[in-house]
Formats: sequence, C-alpha cells, structure tokens
Amino acid sequence: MNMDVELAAWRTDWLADQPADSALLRPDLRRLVGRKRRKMALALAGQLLYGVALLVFSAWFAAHRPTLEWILWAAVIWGATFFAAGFGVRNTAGTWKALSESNAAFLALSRERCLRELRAMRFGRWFLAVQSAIVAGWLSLDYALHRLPRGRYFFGFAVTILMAVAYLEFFAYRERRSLRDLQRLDQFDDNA
Amino acid sequence: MQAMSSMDRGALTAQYERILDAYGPALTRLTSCYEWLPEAREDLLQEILLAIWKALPSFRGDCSEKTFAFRVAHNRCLTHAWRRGQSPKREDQLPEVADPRKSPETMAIDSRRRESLVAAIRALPVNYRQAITLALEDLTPPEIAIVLGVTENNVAVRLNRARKALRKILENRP
Repeated sequence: MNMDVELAAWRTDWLADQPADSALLRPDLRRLVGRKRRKMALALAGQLLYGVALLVFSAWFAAHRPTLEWILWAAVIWGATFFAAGFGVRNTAGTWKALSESNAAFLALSRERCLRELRAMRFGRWFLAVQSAIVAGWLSLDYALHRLPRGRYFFGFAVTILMAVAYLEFFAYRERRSLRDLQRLDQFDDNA
Repeated sequence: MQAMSSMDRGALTAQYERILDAYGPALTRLTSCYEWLPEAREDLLQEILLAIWKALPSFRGDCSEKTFAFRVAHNRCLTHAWRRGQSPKREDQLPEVADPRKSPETMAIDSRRRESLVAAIRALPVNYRQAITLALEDLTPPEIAIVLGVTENNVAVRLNRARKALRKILENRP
C-alpha cells in the first residue's frame, strides 16, 4: 500500500472520534472557583475575628461600667453580632464546593456565589440602616437628657454619617464587582 | 499597573480559549494513546490543559500555537508515561468503559476501527507513539521535530519505524 494512502486511511480512522468541546474541563474556570473559595475563607476568618473582638470588648466594657445603659449597649452589640453571623453562615451555606467536577457545576457555583453576595449587600444596607438608627437615637437621647454636650453630639453624628457613607460605598463597590463577575460568567457560559 | 496586569490576563485567557477551541479535540485524542480508561484519560487531559495554562505566560510566539500546545501536551504525556512505566497498562481484566459522550450509533459506526488503531498505537514504544500521533494530527515533519525536540531526520526515521510497527500490529490483529 502507498505510504501516504495508508497514513491518510489511518488519519481518517484517527479523526473519527471528535469529542465535544463542552467535555473539556476549563482550568481557568476551576482556578476562578478555587480563588473565590480562598477569598471566602479569608473573609470568614476576618469576620470571625472582628466579631469576637466586638463581643469581648463590649463584654469587658459593660463589666467595668455595670449600669443599665452599658449593659443594654453590650446586649445590643451581642445580638447584632450573632444576628449578622447567623446571616453570614446561612448565606454562604452550600457555596463552598461545586457539586461535581464539571464546567456546568463550576459555572452554577460561581453564579450562585455572586447572587449570594448581592443578597449580602442588600442585607448589609438594611442592617446598616438599623444600626445607624439605633446610634442616632442613642446620641439624641443622651443629648436630650443633657448627658452629652452639643459639640460631642454633633461629632458623634458626623462620625456615624461618615461610617455609614464608607460602608455604603463599600457595598456599592462589592455590588458592582458581583454584577461584573456575573457578566463574565455569562461569557464563560457562551464559550463553555 | 493593575490595569495592565488585568489586560495581560485577559489576553492570556483569550489565547488559552483559542488553543482549547482549536486543539482541544486533538489533545483528547492524544490522551487515548496513553490511557485505556476514560476516567484516566480525563485526568491526563486535565493535566495537559493545566500545563498549557501554566506555560502560556512564557510562550513568546517563537513557534505556532499548534506546535506550542502539542509540545506541552507531549511533554506532559511523556512524564505521565514514565511515571506509569513506559507503556500504558492494559487493563485486560477490566472491560473498556464506553465513553458517555458518544452516542451508541456513532460508536457502532466508527469506534471499532478507531479503537483497533488506537490499541495498536498504544502498543508502540513511546517515541514511536509520539511521532505517529503527531503525524495523524497532520503536523508536518518540521513541526513534529519542534514538538519532540529532535532533528527532522530523526522524525523521518521514527515515523518510518512507527508505521512499519503499526502496520505489523494491525495486520496481526483479527
């Protein structure tokens, strides 16, 4: 048999198996999922540390000033911290690992993580509004009862407003990033 | 600086996707010459794709993307083969698991001849196996020489011997 004809015949048989592109797992997608998981773990560790610091500090402060006002203040801090932690745990549940090692599972997980992050930002805004209202009410009550001079009252209000603005800006940034990630995932979907 | 880095990453991703689109099926075929079981082939394919992704930043365009992809893949396969012991173990005791990606009709039509060819290629020594698979993927002898890091003369010798050995194996099969 002619060598080229023989090679061409083998090539025809060889190329007969054309695997679907979708069957190929994408390492870039896998990396994206892994990177996000590490970021989530870091964020969780940071939140835990922050939460524990808040709990310890408020408990220590209330123990050294055992008046009704400061015990109430510590109780509010503890309640809010546990409430936020509970939301955080519930919001990330089921988003730590893909259900299987496939492009579709990685995409579904990444999309779910973005949606959960958007939900967390909505929760954050609502929670911030409640906390700001409590702080504003507390400051105003102290001012009305003449326990707080005018200068410190306005200073406290200014700090509260500045912190709220900083948090809102942070939420907006995270929201933009999540929406951008969702768009990127749509592109993955088209190409996967 | 960060914008530049993100641009680079975007370009790399685009290049990777282009390589995956163009040579993904060929790389999948290549794995069938090194592993019998579909699960093991999938694992090897993942190793290859990861190696390509990692090697992409150092790719300076001194050869074509095709040559680059096959070179990385063949190096990966070579390491894999040496790690497992030269030729892939024939799991004669285990039935060949049907690839779930193919329809039964397609399998009935073309898988028999292809499986026979692939089985014969698997029986070849690694250096012949590399040369013949690249030739079957339509790479020219100069391209094969670049991929394997040998001279064109050496490629010609390997191809000639690989063909003879392959022909002999195929003729002796029922």
